[in-house]
Amino acid sequence: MPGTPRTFVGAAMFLLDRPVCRHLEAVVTAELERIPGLAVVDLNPRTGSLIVRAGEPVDRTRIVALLERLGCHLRE
Amino acid sequence: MRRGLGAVARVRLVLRGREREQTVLRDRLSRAAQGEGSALVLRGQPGVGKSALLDDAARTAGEHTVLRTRGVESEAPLPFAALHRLLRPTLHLLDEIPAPQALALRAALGETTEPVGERHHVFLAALNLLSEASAQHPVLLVVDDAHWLDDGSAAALLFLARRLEGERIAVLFAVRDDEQGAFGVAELPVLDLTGLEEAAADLLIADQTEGAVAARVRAELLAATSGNPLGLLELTRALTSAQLAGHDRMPARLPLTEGVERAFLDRYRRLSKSAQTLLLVAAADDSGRGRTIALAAQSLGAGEVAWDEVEGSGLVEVGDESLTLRHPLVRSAVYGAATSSRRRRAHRALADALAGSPDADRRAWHLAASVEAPDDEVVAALDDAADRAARRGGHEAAAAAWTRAAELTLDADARAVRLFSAAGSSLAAARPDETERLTRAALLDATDPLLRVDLLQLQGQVEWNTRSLDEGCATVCRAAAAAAPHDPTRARVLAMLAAALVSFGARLPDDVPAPETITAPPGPDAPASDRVAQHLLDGFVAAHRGAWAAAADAMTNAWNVQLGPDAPPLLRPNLAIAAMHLGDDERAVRMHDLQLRTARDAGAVNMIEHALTRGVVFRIGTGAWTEAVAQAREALLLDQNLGLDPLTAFPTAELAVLAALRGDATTAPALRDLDAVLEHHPPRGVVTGLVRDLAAWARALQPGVPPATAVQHLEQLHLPVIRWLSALDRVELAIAAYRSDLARAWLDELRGFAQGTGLTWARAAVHHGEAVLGNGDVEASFRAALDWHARSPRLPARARTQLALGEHLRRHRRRADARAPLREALTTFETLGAASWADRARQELRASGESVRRGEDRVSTELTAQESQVAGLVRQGLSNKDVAGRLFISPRTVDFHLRNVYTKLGVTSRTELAALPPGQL
Repeated sequence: MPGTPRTFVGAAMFLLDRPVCRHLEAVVTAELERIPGLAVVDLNPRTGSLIVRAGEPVDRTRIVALLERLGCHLRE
Repeated sequence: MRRGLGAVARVRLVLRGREREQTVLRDRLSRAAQGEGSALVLRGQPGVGKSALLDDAARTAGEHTVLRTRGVESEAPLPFAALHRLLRPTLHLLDEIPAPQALALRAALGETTEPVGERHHVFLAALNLLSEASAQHPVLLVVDDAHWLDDGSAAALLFLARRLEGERIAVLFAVRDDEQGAFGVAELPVLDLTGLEEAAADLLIADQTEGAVAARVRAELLAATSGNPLGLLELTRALTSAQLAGHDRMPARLPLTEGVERAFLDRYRRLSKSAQTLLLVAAADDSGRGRTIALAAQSLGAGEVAWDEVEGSGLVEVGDESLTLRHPLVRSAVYGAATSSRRRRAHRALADALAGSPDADRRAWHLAASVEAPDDEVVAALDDAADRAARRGGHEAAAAAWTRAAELTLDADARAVRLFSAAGSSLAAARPDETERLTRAALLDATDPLLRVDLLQLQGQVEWNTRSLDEGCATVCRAAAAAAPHDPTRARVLAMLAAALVSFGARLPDDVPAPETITAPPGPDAPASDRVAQHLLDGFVAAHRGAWAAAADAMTNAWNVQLGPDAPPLLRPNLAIAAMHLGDDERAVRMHDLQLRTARDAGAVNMIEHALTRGVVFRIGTGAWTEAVAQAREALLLDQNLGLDPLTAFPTAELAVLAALRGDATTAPALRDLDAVLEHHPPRGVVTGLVRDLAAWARALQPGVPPATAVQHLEQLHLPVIRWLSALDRVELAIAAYRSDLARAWLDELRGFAQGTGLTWARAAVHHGEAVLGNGDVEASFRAALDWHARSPRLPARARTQLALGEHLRRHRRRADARAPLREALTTFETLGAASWADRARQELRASGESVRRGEDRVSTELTAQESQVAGLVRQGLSNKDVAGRLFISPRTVDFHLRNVYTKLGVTSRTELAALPPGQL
């Protein structure tokens, strides 16, 4: 169910529902990396594929919420 | 405040204004009762009344046995949960279906701990079980909330829904228009449900209230809900009587779903804290099972009193042992309103309530949702759940559990191992994109060198099978290089694979080591696997360079080594691929037939498809065209029946070539089919080159194409195997197009191959080519070709040489001499069913003074692909049950097709069908 708590460490993958522009790419990266322990490993602006890596526990729903706030919706 | 509406009351209310839909459903049911089974998807917004229509259909189904299930969002990771509920009443019939299928189904439903193996047997078992159940009474399957079906159940039900021809089974699905999940409705007929008309909506509003409702308010409600019945119901109930009468202002309008959720939430917020806790627990669990919910809620301080309170809230339906939220929107509203820490506590309480129960999978997922940090206990529970799911054939569920376990694992290599397991399961579930993402993530973590090799190999496999051959080959080379310092055998086998891919047209980037440079050759005493891998590697590299003598030597060496049963699995298929390169038809057919038998015994669908399509290539050469057509059609049906659409291009291209070689009336439609498939499902990965070349060859051969155009198509051929198969066409058409330069170049290339390999058909083709080019003594060249042909298995080429010789003799006024080769050519062409070639041979024979009966036109019987396949297998002596197993349909559907075949062909029994000449099918 959307919103089910999902704490993780290590890599996590997300698929954005559309390509992102350079500007949004920078914003998404900066915002995500403000979450403690989180690093953006790869954001492919063309395919919308995003890989992050958490050095300490992060709840995935927090990332999804942040992405949605920036206007990036996820593909199923 | 009004009491909650019971199910019956709700149905009566919502079913205003649904007469048209009710008629459609009734019609489906009565047709199913007469053996015209079908599936229908009801699609619409939440609250539009899908469930109500399903309930109505189930209640009025009459003679039908009604079996019901529904998708449950929280069951997504539980393999076959929804299917199990559906089939439970029919499981006593398991002994009536073939034993291997019954075993597979039992395993999938978790009734045994045996591994499932191939899960299409589970699907087929479900179909046959329901087919058995429908023998007495027709069956109606009702599947609500199909968008939330667990992946295994969704796959099984879609499989079933595509195979209802001749069955007494009707299937009704309900699916939300804004969510699809694993349930793709693409191929199924859909009935879209929209809002109610004004008159029905007014009646529904009137049902909700005793007082008067102002026309303006009714109009506003209708506009705000677009006639959505649940919306009308809830928004009406949320209004005060002063608002309804039009005296007070209406609240601000919200989007429909949000508005309905808001209405539910308003009611939820008026409840006490403990009643809210109880509802949150019910929302977090969603199984509806009262005992579990009660235990969990109790531990969070919500006891008896809370139950009484929620029962009166109108948000739930309480049964003897169940507590169900009234509508999925109640669930999303309640769950969405809770903070994440309250959600975690609810999941933890549910996990504790399930401790020691058989519901270990559900418990594992509640645990996973309850933790705030990596936790070994939770990871172990998820590992177990993944193992169980994999054993049951629930590959998607296994991938999900392993992925989740990885997310909660601190150690990087341990995490990568779990992601590797997840990737393997997602590949088994035919989700290559997910596999690729998982391997990519795992490679970020993995430091163990052999684990990295595993991951690279898997990544390469996905690439070269489903995406880019070049990328896939590069990844395989990287895997081989990574393996080299640690496991030379592994490295050698991978390098061999890379060389095989290069020989099928893969191009490597500069920063990747060439396959032959990755490992040093093994010593003469090295194990068989190492020697075979090296010989094959040498052979593929030589073949790619056009060094055919070296290639033939190396490949022969590879074939001559005896491989043990535990040889690396990549070796055997590549021994067969080597035979394809060398054009060693008999060996290749033998190897692929062995592969096919092994695959059939194991019921391994992908291997069956692989062996069938590869086997066809050689039969094109040898002239076993009837078999080739049957095998290509079987592969195509398998792809279509099992939803493997990306694979359809290969067998379709083979069928186009076979039709074009025969030159009959089916060529044009076969090429149209091919164009359509190439547009919608372009070939990917390693077969791309083969499909492209076969398509170009078929286009060159189509009737009426001017030689110059045909030659343009033939210039597109890249792979040696197809260039050799089409050798005679290439030389003859190049001459016909006045391109003797091309003919000469192509002949030189073929000569190099023939001299290197010494293959009889190649030598024959070279002599034929020299004759056509007019080099030296033409007759002598043709006769030399026939000498070689006599020892070659390629019958069609032999007949072509006989025809060409006959034509040559007749043109030189040696009519009597011409007749013998022409007669032999005609006989062969007739046996092959090569219509246009047979016509040409007949004309020549007549011109040489022999009277020839007219050829029989192949009667077009207009059997469908499925019918002709069924007919073909029955003619081979297979029983209906065996045909059903082979084609992944039920015996009842086989019987249905067979009756159509009888009617179309005018026969009345299997014996008569078997006695028909081959040309009739």
